[in-house]
Amino acid sequence: MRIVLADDSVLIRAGIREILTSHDHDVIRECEDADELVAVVDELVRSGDAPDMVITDVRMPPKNTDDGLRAAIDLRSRHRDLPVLVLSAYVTGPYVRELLSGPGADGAVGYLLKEKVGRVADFLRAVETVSAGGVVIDPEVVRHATRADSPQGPLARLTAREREVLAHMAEGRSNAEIATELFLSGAAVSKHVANVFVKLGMPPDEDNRRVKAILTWFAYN
Amino acid sequence: MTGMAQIRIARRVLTECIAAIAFPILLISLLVFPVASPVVAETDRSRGRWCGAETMPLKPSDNSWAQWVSLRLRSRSLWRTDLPVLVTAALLSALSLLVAFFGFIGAAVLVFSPVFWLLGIAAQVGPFTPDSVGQTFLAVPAGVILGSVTTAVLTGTSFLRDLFQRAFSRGGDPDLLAKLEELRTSRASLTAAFEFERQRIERDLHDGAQQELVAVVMRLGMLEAAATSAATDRERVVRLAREAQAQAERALERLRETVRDIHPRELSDLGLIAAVRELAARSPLRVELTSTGDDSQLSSPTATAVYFTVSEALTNIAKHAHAGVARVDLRCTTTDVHVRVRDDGVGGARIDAGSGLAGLRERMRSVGGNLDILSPPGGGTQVSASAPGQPPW
Repeated sequence: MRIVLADDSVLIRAGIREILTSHDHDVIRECEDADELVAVVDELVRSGDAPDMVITDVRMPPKNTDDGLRAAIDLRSRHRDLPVLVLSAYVTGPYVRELLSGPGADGAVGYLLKEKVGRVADFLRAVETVSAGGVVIDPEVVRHATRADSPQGPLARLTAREREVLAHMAEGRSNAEIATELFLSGAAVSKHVANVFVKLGMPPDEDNRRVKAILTWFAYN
Repeated sequence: MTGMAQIRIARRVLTECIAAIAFPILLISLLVFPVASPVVAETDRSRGRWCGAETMPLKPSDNSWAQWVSLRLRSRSLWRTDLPVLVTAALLSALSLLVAFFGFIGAAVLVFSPVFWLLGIAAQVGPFTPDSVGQTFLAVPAGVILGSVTTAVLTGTSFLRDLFQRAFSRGGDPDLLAKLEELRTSRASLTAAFEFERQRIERDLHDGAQQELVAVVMRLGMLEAAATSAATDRERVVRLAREAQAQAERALERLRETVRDIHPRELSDLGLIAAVRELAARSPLRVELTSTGDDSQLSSPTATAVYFTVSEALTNIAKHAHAGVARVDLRCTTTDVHVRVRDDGVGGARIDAGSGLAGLRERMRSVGGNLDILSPPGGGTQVSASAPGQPPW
């Protein structure tokens, strides 16, 4: 996969690059700040050489606030099929919500805590999931954002178990993984997932139901 | 009427009754008015607050009454506010005494008129004397009305007290207003300095220890991947382990720096002069330090503010001034502390909003001091700060 990587710390960039390149990915460009990231991606897309994915930090120059997130939202709105994985030092719901609710493709987006890169296998799977159009939200952020006590909107229609399954879906887990983690049979998980889709009003012929369900989960959490 | 409003009316009537009973004390108070009026006025403010009026007791909770009264005696507010409040308090108490005495006793006698009649007493209230049992029963509602009117008048008197209290407090005295303004400014400075400091710590942690730790975790991830893969050679595993260790050590180092920047240990243990000496020794610059006086009289916030001023100034010189040498003059007296940090560098420094120096100026102001810089282009930079040893509040 051809990846554009943006982080203002040389140290972190080197680490991520090493992990990616030793697993058959290419870091085609590295950027030190958000403006550079936007310019580089725009230029690559213009020259017909669009990257397969962007991995970016949140806090970067020029303003050193949430510039990376802004750049990610901007890029997603203009290059609708570009998968974007945001790496962050912050466990904050609002950032994720903004990223997910911003204009752009439904899906092909992820938000991971930066240190999760160290879980190499998980990180690489997140990269694959996002590039394949999925959504991956860091489990810690999911936990942080979960309001078990008072489900809102359409989520109120779900049972506690279905909400739990949905939270695992938000972390980018497959049905099989959810089955293992929750000690359920594969059939039971499939049934819960199907119920989630029906209760959130997603007909079987709709594309990307999984992603849409996750977006709903985040919108109402 | 809501419950709270009823409670407040009840409190007003109750406090008026107490004021009525206290009338003799108030009368005597007038004879010793210099001491009595602050106490009475303050009591009246507390009363107002208890009854829901917009007033506020002025005595700081950590002052004793004796301290506060002696302070108040020297203030013009004694004449402008407290004495008029005392006089009106005495007059209104006389009114309340009359109203409560005749009103409530009259009301009680009227309400119990039938009982008195049964006991063979024709209870007289003012011009009214019952001469039949029927008349005594007519007296009952009259008594209720008299009681209600008395309550209403007492409540009105209570409101009248608030009115006078407010009228005499209006405008306040200029000394107090000036002090208030000063406090308001310093509180704003303090909040700003506090906020600035927290942001700095957050930034230090994020860019420092946290960043290094993320790198450690990444390196450990690579190490694990390498160790579990059959194809990896031993050398790579060893290299990754060493790198991870070195990185963890750097993370600790950064953490230590951040902790030191939050509050240096030697400042609280050894005092300002020793801490600044240590600062000078650790600086990459050649620092010529002269210090005089005794720093034991400085308040801890003052010493900390001065310490960080020197620290920031030295950091700035090392970063921007292109200077070879820095001079630090620290003078502590029994009442003040002055510090001056000079360099022979390029000058042209300014206190920009949001800069480290701006934060330090806020910090110096928050302890009643100030900070200035003199930095003509090409003429070196001089940062001077001074503050009273104890904040004036």
